[in-house]
Amino acid sequence: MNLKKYKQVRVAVALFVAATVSTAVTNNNRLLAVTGVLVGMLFMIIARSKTKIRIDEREKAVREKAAQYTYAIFAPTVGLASFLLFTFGRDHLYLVALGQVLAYLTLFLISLYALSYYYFNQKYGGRVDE
Amino acid sequence: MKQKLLYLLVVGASIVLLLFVISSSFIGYEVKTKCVQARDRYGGDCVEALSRVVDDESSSFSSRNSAVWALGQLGDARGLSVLEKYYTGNIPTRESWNGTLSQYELKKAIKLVSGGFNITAVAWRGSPTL
Amino acid sequence: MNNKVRVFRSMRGLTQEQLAEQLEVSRQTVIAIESSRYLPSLPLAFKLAKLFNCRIEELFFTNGSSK
Repeated sequence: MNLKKYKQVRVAVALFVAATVSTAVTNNNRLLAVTGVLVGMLFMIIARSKTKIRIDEREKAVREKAAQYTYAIFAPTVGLASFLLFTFGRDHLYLVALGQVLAYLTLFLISLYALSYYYFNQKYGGRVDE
Repeated sequence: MKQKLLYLLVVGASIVLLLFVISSSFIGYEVKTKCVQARDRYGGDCVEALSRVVDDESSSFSSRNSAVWALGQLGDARGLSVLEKYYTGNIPTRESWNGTLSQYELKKAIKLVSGGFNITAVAWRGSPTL
Repeated sequence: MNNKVRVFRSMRGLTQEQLAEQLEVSRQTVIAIESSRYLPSLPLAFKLAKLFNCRIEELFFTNGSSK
């Protein structure tokens, strides 16, 4: 299977799962929803195993840049959102609670970035004492 | 390899910590909600209002059990007297949340209020809402 | 930075797909290299040079030093 066909299969499976889950929700049938999702996942695993998808250096570079930008946008957005929720949602408990969760999430993101930076810096030879 | 394992370990620990603080925030939100509901009805501060909920035999057992739980989470010694008033020391094998005042919840709350360590309270205690 | 990858590829009668196969990269990567939108890594640049039997400097050059 080539990449083009794989993408077509992916769309078809997504449509199938969406149709199954929406039918299941309409009929209040959890088993159908779970089964639909599991079958979709299984199909995708089989399709993926049959497809030759090449992740070359350019693809890696694109993914790195995309991740970098995602972090650069996401972390400040979530941080700002938590600050706004704390400031303007003081009279509403659930907004304060949500602000708290987002604040912890922001701290986690920043810590994770710092940890990852340290690790990769060490890995790619950026030692302080050399 | 050792560094990679250490990195993964630290990331794993961070994720666990994040989930822990988010769960703790959720507990705090529940406590604050119970507190606000009690204060709306009985006035006074959190501990006083929740104590009155526990003491109010016209309230549902579910509300009273929730108030017992919240008093335990707050860990304020002022709640001890009302908790001990209803605690018999005899914990049945099965207790209905809606059918009776839970002896098990009372026992847990008394333990916390009498100086027991509540690890989740670190994330949410000290809020002005309480 | 510019390159003559397209020229060398045409000289050898290769399609982009064929070149991509030989370099073990995707066709999109070959397109991006030829249009100077992507700079290949050193190993890939060496692979290209070896494939076309030329020096790297003959394949890749800065704007002021085209051969």
